Amino acid sequence: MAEVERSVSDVARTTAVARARAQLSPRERIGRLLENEAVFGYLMVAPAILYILILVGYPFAIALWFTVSDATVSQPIGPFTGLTNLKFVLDDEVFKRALANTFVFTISSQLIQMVFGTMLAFLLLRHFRGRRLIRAIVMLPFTVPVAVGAIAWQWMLNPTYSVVNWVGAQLGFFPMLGGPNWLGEEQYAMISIIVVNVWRNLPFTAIVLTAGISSIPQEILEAASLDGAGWLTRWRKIMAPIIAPIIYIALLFSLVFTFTDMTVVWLLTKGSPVNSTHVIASYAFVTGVISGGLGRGAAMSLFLFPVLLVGALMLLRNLKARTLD
Amino acid sequence: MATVRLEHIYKKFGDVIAVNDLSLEIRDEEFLVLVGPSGCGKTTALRMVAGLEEQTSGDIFIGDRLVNDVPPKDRDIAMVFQNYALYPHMDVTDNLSFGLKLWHVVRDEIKRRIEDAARMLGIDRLLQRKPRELSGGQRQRVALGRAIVREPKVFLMDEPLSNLDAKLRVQTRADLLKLHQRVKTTTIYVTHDQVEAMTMGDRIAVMRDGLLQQLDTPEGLYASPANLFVAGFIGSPPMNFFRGTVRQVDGQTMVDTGSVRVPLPPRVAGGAARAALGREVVYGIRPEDIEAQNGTGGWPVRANIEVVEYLGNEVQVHANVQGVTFVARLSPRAGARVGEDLPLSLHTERAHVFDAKTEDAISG
Repeated sequence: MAEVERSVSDVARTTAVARARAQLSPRERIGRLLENEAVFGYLMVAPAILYILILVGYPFAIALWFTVSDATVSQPIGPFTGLTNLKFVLDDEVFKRALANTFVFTISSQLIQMVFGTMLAFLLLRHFRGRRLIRAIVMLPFTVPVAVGAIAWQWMLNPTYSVVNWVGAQLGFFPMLGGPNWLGEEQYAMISIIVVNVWRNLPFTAIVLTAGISSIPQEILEAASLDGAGWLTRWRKIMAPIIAPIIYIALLFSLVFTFTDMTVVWLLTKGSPVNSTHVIASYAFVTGVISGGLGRGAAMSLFLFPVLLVGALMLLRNLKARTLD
Repeated sequence: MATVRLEHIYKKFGDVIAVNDLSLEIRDEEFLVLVGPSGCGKTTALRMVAGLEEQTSGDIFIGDRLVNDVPPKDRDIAMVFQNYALYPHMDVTDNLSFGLKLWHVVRDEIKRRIEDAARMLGIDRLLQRKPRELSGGQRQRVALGRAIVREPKVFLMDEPLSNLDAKLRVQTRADLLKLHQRVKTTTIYVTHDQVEAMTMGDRIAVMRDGLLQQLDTPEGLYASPANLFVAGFIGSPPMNFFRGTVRQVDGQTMVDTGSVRVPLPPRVAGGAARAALGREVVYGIRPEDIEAQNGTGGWPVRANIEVVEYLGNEVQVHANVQGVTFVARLSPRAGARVGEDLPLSLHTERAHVFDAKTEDAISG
């Protein structure tokens, strides 16, 4: 009996709520809806999800499809060809060279950047007259549009007009007009690419390190000095471990970025001489876009994927550890 | 163990003279406190002894060795910093052993010293922790431990208690004293807190604007401050000051503020009193040298009570005698009530007189 009464009153309440809702204006109804946390939350993340789906997910899916199909610029929806593209790519001598170059380029750039970046950071931290001016000048390579910088470097490395060779000749390293053809010989061209890339990214590394080092309380370094640590010990045992998290994250970002970067290669040599200076990105671009072999280009790009995945996972894990800390 | 000697030390930062002709001798096993308001040069002086700052001129000796050109690590000193400056990425053990390892102390010896220090400081259970896992008091102990294990000739401490809360500070103050009685290492201790200075120092060097004002035992500073600054700095609540002129009144030498007349203390007698006649002076009397009248002597005045601060064991009253206001520490039973008159007696025999121009104490 009591149950029946309760259900009756429930019904009465429900109809009352429904009636009240019916009386709301459309604007009020939207307001009510937005009060709902689930609705509002999904609304807020929707742009990010759309972005990922349209601009990351869709192209990635297409790339996967291109890899296993005979897609060309003239016929983007080609027939399914299985692993033919991948097999072709693996047999391609230029691709193998590009793959090796990518690793040489990335790793040596990063190493040189770290070493010189650290030295530059310490120099920038010293107190001297005009420090601000010097800091601004050091930042220039990072702010100059890379195309402009690359043109300047092309002139500096030009076989006939090379400033570098002129200086070298004046210093007696090689005869006048007999210096290396920087962009025309395989080894020299690779070295040039690495040097220009370091030139471009060194300011960033140096500034990140400067920020890291200057965040260490002065007293800690003084305490270490009093404990008997010389500058090398202070760097190795105190400063480097304290700023290690910053270095780690900057290095990961930089690695991932450099690994996929073709800017300097493209602007300096376009892969020449005889396709000896290609990195994966530039060779994939040449094969897939310039020559129109979308399938093969996609297959090449896919080789970047495992390395980037590992890099991304490490970054994510680092961020997670940080938020838990 | 060692003495530390500073001879005519100057330190200039650009145009600012941070330390001005400082000469000090810290005795072997002494606990010397450098005290003064912020910016008085006390920390700079300490950092020069440490070698973290180079003096513009003057000599510093540790023991018999001139250390002007000796780098910090070779001065055989250990320093405790205000913010502790522990190595954040190392656990307590590594923090303590870092310096010892650099000096190639053998492993067993390192272990022994760390165990001893940890037991002495009560941090033996924290040895595996990182600094961020420690409370402020524990960090402070680790910082002390790092200094102790070095077994240096001199401890330098730069406001080591100022980051602790009030209760912990009082306790750690006592612990530090016990520690010093035990290890007896010569210590230079910098603080801006006069209570810390008075309770801890064997001797206290009071500084202001880079100048040493007075170097004396706590009792000496309290009983005979050398000048107006020291008189006002040492003691809480601070000494009361009134400006006045020294005059001969009814055959007695008095300080006359215009409305109130008080006799000169016996320390200013004879020739000094005669020489002071007619001069502008500042008359100083400590709040504890004023009592409610009880017939035991003192200079009687009738004061109007303006403020009464009840502290449980005492009351601090702001009293007004014909326009001259001062603070007195009275017994809660003295019956001080706001707005009422109260007969007080000033123990003028313990008063101080300072020259109004030079601010130096007058005595003789």
